Amino acid sequence: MSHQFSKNIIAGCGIGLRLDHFDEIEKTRPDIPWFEVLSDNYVLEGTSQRDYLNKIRKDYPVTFHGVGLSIGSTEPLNQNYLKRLKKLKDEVQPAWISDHLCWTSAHGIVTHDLIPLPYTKNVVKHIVDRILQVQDYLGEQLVIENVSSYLQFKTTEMSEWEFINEVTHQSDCRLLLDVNNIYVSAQNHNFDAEDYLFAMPAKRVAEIHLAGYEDRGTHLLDTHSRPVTKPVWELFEKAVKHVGDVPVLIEWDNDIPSLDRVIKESSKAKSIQQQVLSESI
Amino acid sequence: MSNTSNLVKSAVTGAMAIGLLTVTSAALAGKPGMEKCTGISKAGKNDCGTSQHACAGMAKTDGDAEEWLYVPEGTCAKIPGGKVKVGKAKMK
Amino acid sequence: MKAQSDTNTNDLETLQNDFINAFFNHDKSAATKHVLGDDTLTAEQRLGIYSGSVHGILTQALGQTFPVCKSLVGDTFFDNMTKLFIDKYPPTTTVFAEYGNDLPLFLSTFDPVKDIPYFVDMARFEWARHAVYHNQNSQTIDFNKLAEVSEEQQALLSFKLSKTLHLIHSDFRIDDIWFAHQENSELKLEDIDLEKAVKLFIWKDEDTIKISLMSHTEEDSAYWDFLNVVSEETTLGDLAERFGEQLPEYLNQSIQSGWIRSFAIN
Repeated sequence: MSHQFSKNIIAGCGIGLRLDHFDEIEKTRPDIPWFEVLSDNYVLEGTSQRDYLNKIRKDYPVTFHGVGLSIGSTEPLNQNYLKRLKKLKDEVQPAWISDHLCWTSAHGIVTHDLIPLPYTKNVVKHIVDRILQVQDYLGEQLVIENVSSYLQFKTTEMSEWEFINEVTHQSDCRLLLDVNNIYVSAQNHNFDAEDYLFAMPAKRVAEIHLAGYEDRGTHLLDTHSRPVTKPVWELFEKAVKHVGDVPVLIEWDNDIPSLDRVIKESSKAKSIQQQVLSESI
Repeated sequence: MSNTSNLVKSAVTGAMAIGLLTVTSAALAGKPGMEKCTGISKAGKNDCGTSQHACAGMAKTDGDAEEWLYVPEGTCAKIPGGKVKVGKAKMK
Repeated sequence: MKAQSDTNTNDLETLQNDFINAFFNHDKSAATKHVLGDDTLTAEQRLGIYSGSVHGILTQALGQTFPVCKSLVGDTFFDNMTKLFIDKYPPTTTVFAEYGNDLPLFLSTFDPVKDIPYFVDMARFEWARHAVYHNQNSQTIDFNKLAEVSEEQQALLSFKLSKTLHLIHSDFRIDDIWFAHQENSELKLEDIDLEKAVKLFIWKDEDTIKISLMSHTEEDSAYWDFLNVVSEETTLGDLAERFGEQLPEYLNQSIQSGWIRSFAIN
């Protein structure tokens, strides 16, 4: 089927594909380098949504981004989920598949939320084992994203950046570096965002995420409902210096504005990225 | 042979005679028994953004209320005959 | 893939079970013990952010699946109602579109909606629309295969209705209520003749969901009953007892229409 798809080169600043924008994208075929697809929402076969995704795929490169993998869970890997994901992958052929370094389900219940993990050696071992199983099943390297968090565990033995380094190194997976998440967690847990950022394994970064949070007074909430904030743009500049020319993606999931507004945000990311890259030559 | 088994047999024979059927939308168009198509609509969409926290921004930090008065404040009040009263339910 | 029985993960398993209990059983005490508190927020408050977020995400998803139910009672009522539903029926699927099947059942014993007599039917109606949209049918049906069924087994045959057909019976004009809630609807809520019973077909025609009203003639009522009885996977023998001479015609008609798509032997 691959011959009828556009080439799968992921470069530049893309945006997350959202149903609100379907009609406009189909009509206007905007100049967007690639779309990130919320894969969990397309796993049902024969739906109009799935047909639409296949149509989009003919004209644009895509990546997958999911929540349901629950890589940090202690229950067995969800075989049904993996089966559906693999089928979708074979059909749509994304450049890569990403999910989050956290857990979302346990005891047969799916929270649909990103719950953090205690950062311990045992948990590293557990997650590495599971990432290897998933990579084996999917036949490709997995891309794992750092999450934002609102709590820390008493049993934690190491920093989040040490944890990420251990997991990505031992499982040889790649990293989806969410700059907004680093900033949100740094504010919520009083650490220096730059300590975290510069500790990231630059060569493993496949993609950068940017989004907007909400300030709730006692904490920042990662709602993906706003434009990217000034301190996150500043951190993004440093991230580009650190990791170089990697694809960047704008996520907007709540209070979704017009397609033009989201594209505007990705254009801003593009100009900042190009500025930083030209300075560092 | 009883009447029932005759009927079963005749039903199966009838179905078999249809054989391999490709269901097209034309075949679906005029359904027996339908008085009228009261309307058509584009299907709903389901794309609750996934990788975010608190879609609805409901971060509650001060515990849940014990009891909550259920007062419908929606469109149901506009429907003639669809009167509503105040209900109570325990929030646990 | 091997089972996760590593003793090293026992602590993590306990932690995750405690969190699930905190989210859905409102027993926060065990989960709180795992969490660091500080001057800004206590451990319980930090856990509460997640509890609120989990419910917020699921409530929003249910609001998208049951938009008319949400309009009927308003946002506050709906959100509080779904919070109770979520605790009783937490999701077991990673796909939002598959969550909410049990809402009508939950509402049927939920006292605060008793005074809105059509509310449970509206929830069933919205779920039916949703399910029809997210399902597909194979385009071909081969009833030649019935030839492989021996005559003795024929009476034990049962049939399955199309996954893109739902039948809803209500004592209230729920189709009109639903349409009156749609954008640009010419039908006004004030003009609805509420207390009129309806039998509705909800079905998919390519990308379009159609809602059709069953006529009230005696013959059509019997056909409606036939489809309902078939949906309960009644055997062909029992169908013959009940529908007599009409059976071959009804069966033929429903297969031709694509409403019966497969058969099984009980």
